Amino acid sequence: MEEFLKFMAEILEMDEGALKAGTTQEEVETWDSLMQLRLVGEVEAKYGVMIPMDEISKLTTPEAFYAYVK
Amino acid sequence: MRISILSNVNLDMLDGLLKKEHEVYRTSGYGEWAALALRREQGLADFAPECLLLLLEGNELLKQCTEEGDWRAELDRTKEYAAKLAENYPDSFLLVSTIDVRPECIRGKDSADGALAAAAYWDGALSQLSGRYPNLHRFELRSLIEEHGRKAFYSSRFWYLGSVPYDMRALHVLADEIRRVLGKLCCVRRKVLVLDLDNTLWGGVAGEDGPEGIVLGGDHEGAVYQDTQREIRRMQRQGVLLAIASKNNPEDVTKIFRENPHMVLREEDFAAICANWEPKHENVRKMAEELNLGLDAFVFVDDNEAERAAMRIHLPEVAVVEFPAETAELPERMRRVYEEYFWSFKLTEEDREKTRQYREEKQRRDERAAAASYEDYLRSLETKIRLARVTPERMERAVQLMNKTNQFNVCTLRMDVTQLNRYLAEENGQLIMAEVSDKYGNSGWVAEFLYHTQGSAAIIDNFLMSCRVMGRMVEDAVFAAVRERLFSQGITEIRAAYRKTAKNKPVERLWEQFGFAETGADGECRQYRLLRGEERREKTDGERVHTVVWEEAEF
Repeated sequence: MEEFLKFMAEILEMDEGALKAGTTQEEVETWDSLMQLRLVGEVEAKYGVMIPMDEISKLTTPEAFYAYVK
Repeated sequence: MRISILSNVNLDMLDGLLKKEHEVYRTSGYGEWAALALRREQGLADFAPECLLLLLEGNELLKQCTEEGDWRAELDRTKEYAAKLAENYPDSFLLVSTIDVRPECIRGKDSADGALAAAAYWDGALSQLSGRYPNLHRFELRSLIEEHGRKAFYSSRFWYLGSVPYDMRALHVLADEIRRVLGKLCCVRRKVLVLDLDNTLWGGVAGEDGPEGIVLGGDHEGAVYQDTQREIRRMQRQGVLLAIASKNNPEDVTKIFRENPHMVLREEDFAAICANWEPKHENVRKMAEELNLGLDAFVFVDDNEAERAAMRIHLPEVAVVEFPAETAELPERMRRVYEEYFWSFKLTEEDREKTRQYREEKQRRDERAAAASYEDYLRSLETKIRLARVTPERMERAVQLMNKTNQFNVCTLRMDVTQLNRYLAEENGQLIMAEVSDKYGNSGWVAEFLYHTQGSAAIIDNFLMSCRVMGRMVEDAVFAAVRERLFSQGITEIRAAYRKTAKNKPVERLWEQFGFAETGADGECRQYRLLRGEERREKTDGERVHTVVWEEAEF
């Protein structure tokens, strides 16, 4: 999980450690709808997974993304 | 670099991928690139992008089109917008993409033909545009998509989620390509490719195997070396100077050039051939002196790791190419060498003529050694200098020379076409160009003199000259002619400056030599002045010997 947070934080251009598993989309300034798409793309590319389209809008925390990765 | 990406689809994600290395200005919205092109938008204009990138998604662009007439009209319209973009942002380097069109995008029974025809039609439009606007160039988007495959490139999920046509991986590929192209925009071109011979241009050893025994031509390895030579010859045709640094007896090398029927490269393709037993870095150092070039203009290719290491240690400015472990990779490596070190966006006729001119320069030097006095030598060259003001046709050359001349460049003032136009039109500037020819040939436009007047004073903004004509006192003759013209026009005082750079030491004392008095210095810049009546009376050899003619009797 720690490594995953680091990976997400880098994409979100946040300092390492500032992003927690439960941090929500609203709390992060750079996390807009375009960033959401990028996160989906980067996570899928890196971990070789596929997140269904109708699930994407529900992924509002790193934790929720992580569920697809582990 | 300051850049901005325009598109007819949502590629805002690229901004995020590129902003680590580049400053990216995000435009208002992807549908609005045409509006942005048609009138100069203040925000973007204030940002003053060095590069504007227009990425066109072909399928989206042509989605309404069902018949050939439709897509032609749409592409014609797009071409007009791109032209407006070039006109409205003339200070920016503009990259416009090629388009990929999937067959299903164009309906009808021959849709595959239609898709190809549309993409090719746009290629034609781009050629016309880049011919018309010197600041507009092609970005090879379609090649990129073809290389990676449409299946990997396009993403219908991203498309439906956010009007983003491409997959995340493809966006990274695209960002990498943009980085690569931008890198080339900033990088300085090298000029000379120095080649080893044995096991580089052919297999085997010249001194042992001889013209019959070396591996060249035919199949297998012989074909590899021949293709390698073809790649190198192509570079030479594109304006790269070739040289040889080989540990061999010169006669063994000459024999191979003359007797092996499979040689693609000829002796005359090389600006210098050093086949001897001296250390290679010594040879390269000599070449740099002979060709009047800095060591950072050289690229070195050798199959021998020890030679490469020695070059790196002794001449760190020289670029050393990693030699492929697998011989079959050699031609491809040469292509990459061209891309990496020599490629430029536009070649001028001057570039193509360069090898010939450098060879002539060598002949002149040989003659110099034989001639009795320097003045006799100068006279024997029969140098003719033509002075003329810059015209629209000469603009491209003027800017090219201004931006690549490092040694003989007193103020190293760089300008692009737009800045130069502004200098000429709004800042009362004059640009005098000098064309130099002699009995060996024409060197083309090789010197530039920029000045503006202020009352009865003329202020020299820059004086620069190609290293091809250095060491012949051409500058003396050019300056004397300009000085006389200025004084005859009522100018009573000429002001000039020398601004020090890492490379322009050769002209450090130029103004003193021309009889100027130093009036002040500030950091790396020294100011000079020459009053009418105080100019040097005695003419130098260059002034006496060279013939100077003005294109216009007066202006």
